Parts: sequence; structure tokens; C-alpha cells
Amino acid sequence: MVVQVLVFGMNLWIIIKKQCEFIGVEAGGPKNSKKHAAPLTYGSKIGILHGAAQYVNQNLDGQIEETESISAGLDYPGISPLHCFLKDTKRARYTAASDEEALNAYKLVTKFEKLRPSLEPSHAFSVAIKEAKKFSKDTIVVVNSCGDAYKDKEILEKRLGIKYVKSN
Amino acid sequence: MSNLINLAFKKAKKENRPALLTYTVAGDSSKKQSLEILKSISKNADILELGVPHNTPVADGSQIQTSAYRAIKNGIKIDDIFKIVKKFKKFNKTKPIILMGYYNMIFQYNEKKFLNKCKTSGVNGLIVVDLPWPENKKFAKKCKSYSICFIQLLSPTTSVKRTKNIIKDSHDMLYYISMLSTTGGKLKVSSKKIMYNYNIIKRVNPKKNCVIGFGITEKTIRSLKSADGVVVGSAICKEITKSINYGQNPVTNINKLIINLKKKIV
Repeated sequence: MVVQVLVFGMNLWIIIKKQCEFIGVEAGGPKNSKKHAAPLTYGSKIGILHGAAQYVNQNLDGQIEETESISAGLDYPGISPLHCFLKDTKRARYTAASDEEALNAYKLVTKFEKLRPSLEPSHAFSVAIKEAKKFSKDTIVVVNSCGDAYKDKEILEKRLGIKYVKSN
Repeated sequence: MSNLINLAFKKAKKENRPALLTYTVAGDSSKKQSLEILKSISKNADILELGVPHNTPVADGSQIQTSAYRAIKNGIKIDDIFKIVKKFKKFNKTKPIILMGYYNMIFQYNEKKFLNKCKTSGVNGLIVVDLPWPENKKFAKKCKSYSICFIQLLSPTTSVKRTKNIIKDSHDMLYYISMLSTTGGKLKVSSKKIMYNYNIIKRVNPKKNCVIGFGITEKTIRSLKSADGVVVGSAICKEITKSINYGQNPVTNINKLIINLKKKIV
């Protein structure tokens, strides 16, 4: 699964704008684990799962492989066919962020912004922060931050050791 | 070869009863034992369905899932399944075998290679659960060129227009899914309702053999007696699990179950 740095769906027209570069961020799973949820980044083959042809984590026989990610929403062996298309046409490039990187990004964003992204877009934030250093000063970086971290309350408390305080 | 399926239906019709179709997972509980089970039930069952175990079986309930996981854990591969079919066909040449599986397994194995293997090992029909009409048109045509019967699925939510189109593209046999559920669920619909839908299908083309599956057990099989065929799957897989848990021989237990099922439809 991917958290895109830019929003698809509503802003689909933006895909045809040449000035925009797209980076998709997949869930790389725990740092020291072989399991991941990033079929596009780690070169999985096309398969058929849940009624769609898509890049999917699988073994040579076609058995679907188990995934691992800190974020429930990304913990899926396949990926939307739209992303498969964007990868095949090279319109977007795909990379992965590990669980730890996503947590660090979450800490950073909550510290400096009045914002608490859930763990899914935290993956995107982690890559956005890393990539932003390479960009010129007038580049605008847009991150699709979907959802609030409240749903990840228990995971965050366990992993960061800080009590989660409801903000609104 | 696909004529074997037609012959099995004709034979059952002559005896004034529905054909009994059984579903077992290949390699459950071991490669050797699944062949033994096939051999022993072939005396009473008319058509044997053999499941290709997949670890993401979206249409299967817990009973068949347990069987599939057990088979995968024992290291079953597609080639082993063809070997089982080949060995069975040596034992009984005329009993039709249908492979039932998920499309990703065939796709990764390569369609052409898969169909070739099907033909050489003696598979008579194919059910690909997650390849619906019209996406299966090309593959169904390929099956026909290998003289393998591709079995189309129909469900309670299939519209009459779609039913007509599907039947037009179907081969010798149709499969009617009795209810909106995975396999092995409790039969939530009355048998009257199932037979009503079944008759709609039969009215479109009375020549096509149509079987009813999903949720059929010893208790419900009698009420669907007037169909062309009935499929029992989860009840068998459940019996295998039970036999293993009690340390009994699954082969004899399954055989008893099939004899009981057959008694109810004769």
C-alpha cells in the first residue's frame, strides 16, 4: 500500500501537469524484518489478488506472502492498480519508509506543526522531510496527510512510551 | 475428455438422482492420503472436484481454509497435484476430475503450461473462482481448445440478462452458488428459493448441466434432490479435520460420509 506525497482522486488533473513530480511511499515494515508491504519498491511481480491485477507480494507458486507494517492501513500485500499504472508509465517513483522512520517523522511533525498525522501518512512525511533537502527553495512539497493519529493511539503509546493526549 | 462430465450426468439422470460432486483439497492431509481419499470416494461420487490449495482463498470458509493451509504446510505444489490426478486416472480412467482453484496460481504457473499439464494428466474441467465472466472469456476459449470444460459460476445476485450471457459462453456444466456466503456457511436460504433460481437458469438452456454448491451438508442435500448435481465440500474437509483430531483414519470416515450422502439422494 502507498501513501502518496500528493493526493490522487480529487486532484487527479494534477497528474497531467508536467511540473509536478510524484513520489509514492510504501510501508517498508520493521527495520530488521524481511516482511514488508511495499510491492512496488521491492520489485514484486504482477499477480491477481482480491479481483484485481496488481503488483503483489507473493512466492514463486503464486501464494500470497504475509506482510508486516506498523500502520494497519498499509499492511496489505497488494497495491492499487492506479499506482501500478503510474509506476509502469514512470509517472511516479516509489520508495519505502520503515516503521521506525515513520515513527520519527510522526515525532518531528507533531513537535513543529499543529498536526498529528496517523501512521500511514507518517511514512509519506518521513520521505518528504528527507527529500526536501534536495529541492530548491522555491519548490512546493505537498504531503497527503490523511487521518488523525487518534486511531493509532495504542500503538503510539507502546512504541514511543508517551501518553497520548487527545487534542480536540 | 470433457465428455466424461456429460456422461457422469447422463448416468445419474438415468438412475433418477442428482450427480454427487465431492470437493477435497489436493494434498490434504498429505499427498498420499489425498489420493487414497479420491480412490475410495470415487466408488460413490460421480464427479470429483480437487482443490488447488491457495493461501488467500477468498471464496472459502474456515473448513476448506483449514484443509488448504494443512496442504500448503505439507509442501504441496501444482506439479504434485497433477501427479495425484495422473495416478488417480491410472486407477480409474472414466471418473471425471475437476480442478478448482484461484487464478493467481494459474497465472504464475503460466496459462498455457497449466492447460497443457491439465490435458496430459487427465483433468476434465476447471473452476476458477476469482475469474468471473466476462474476464474469463479468453481463458475459457483456451480451455475449450484443450478440450477442458471451463465451468462458469452463477450466484443469487446474477441478473437474468447476465445469466443469459454467461450461459451462452459456458461449456457443458454450470455451477450455481446457493447463497451469498463463503463455502461451508450455514444454508441461510430456503431450498425452495434455491430451486426457484435454479429453474430460472435451467429455463434459459435446459441442456446445460447445472450443479448447486455452497452450504450443502447431510441435512440439506435431500431438499435439492431435483437438481442436476449437488456439490459437497466443506462437510468433507470438516470430516478430515475431525478424523485427524481424533486420531482416526480420514479415508474410511470420508467414505462413510459419502455413502450416507448418496443414500439421501437416491
